Amino acid sequence: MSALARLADRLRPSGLGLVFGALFLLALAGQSLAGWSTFNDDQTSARLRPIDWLEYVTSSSFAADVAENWQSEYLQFVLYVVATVWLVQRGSPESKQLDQVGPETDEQQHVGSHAEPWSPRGARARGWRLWAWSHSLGLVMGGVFVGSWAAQAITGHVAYDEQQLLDLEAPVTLAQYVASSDFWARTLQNWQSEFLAVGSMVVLSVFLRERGSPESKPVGAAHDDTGVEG
Amino acid sequence: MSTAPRLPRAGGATRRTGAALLLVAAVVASATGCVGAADEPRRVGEAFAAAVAEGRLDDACALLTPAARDDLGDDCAASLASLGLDDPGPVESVEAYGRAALVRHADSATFLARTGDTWQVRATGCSPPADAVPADCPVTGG
Repeated sequence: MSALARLADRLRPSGLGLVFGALFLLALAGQSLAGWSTFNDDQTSARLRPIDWLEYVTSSSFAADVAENWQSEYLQFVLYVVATVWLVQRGSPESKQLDQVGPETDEQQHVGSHAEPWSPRGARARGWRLWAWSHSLGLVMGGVFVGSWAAQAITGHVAYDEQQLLDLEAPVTLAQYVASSDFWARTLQNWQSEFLAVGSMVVLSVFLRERGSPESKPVGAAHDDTGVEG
Repeated sequence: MSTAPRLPRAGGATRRTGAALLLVAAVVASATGCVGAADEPRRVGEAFAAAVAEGRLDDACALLTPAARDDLGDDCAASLASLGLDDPGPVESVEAYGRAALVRHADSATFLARTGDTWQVRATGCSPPADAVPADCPVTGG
């Protein structure tokens, strides 16, 4: 077996994470280069000197653009993770069976005295540690959402006031910015697209198939089969 | 069959979390442009005000952005003199956001922009600015 084949064998079990991680970095780099070019076009037309790439990627305008997309993506996932505990959709592979609504029993979840030998340590814990482990996915995704939304507010405020000054207008406070139409327009334009994508995925996966994808039902599954992944 | 995963030791996780938080704080601090950002605009605003007050209009012109200088025509100092800018007095406050800053005096305001590594005056002698109402400035550009 060649070295390349051995490397491919080692990477294959982590392919999904690696490919999306690489796509993320490439897209972020592309965003930074395109945004840098646009920013410097504005600088040049104002007869100010262009800035270098490092200064652009540490600027408030780039950080606000990045953070506003991050917060909406993490909101989408945290809502989906939590909503699918309690809400179901007949025929969707994204939904649990219709009669399994709720957090389920300790036995079904393999926690506490029902933990298996291979269960993570958190599943054998008691009290708040078990609670935290039981909600760790939602807590981390929710934490990233809150953090990136706060970062959007802080960096968006600086970018907004920078533009206010360039327009010879008065800057506003952070509280005024968070209550402003600019902040909510930037926020809601991202939220509506995320909610549309999630909702359409839930409904379209009832009637449409993608052969071999765990996000789809098997091609031959009935439309009203629920919680079946292919 | 799965085997129990090795959990990271708490100390290592804490150190990593602390380092990540420091990194995020540094990036946010940098992106908000709030670390000592008002010092240099204040210095330039005070230098410009002093040059106007003392009639050193060539020095004042040297602190303008190229666009503001162009707006004043071929003889920048003479144009500034013809505008009869009042002595703006001491600087009352400075606000800097990214590459733009506002220097407030008692009755007027000066807008600055950062070009390269230096802050320059892009509008001066302005009425105090308001939200959604651009300040009225006898000198502006850039």
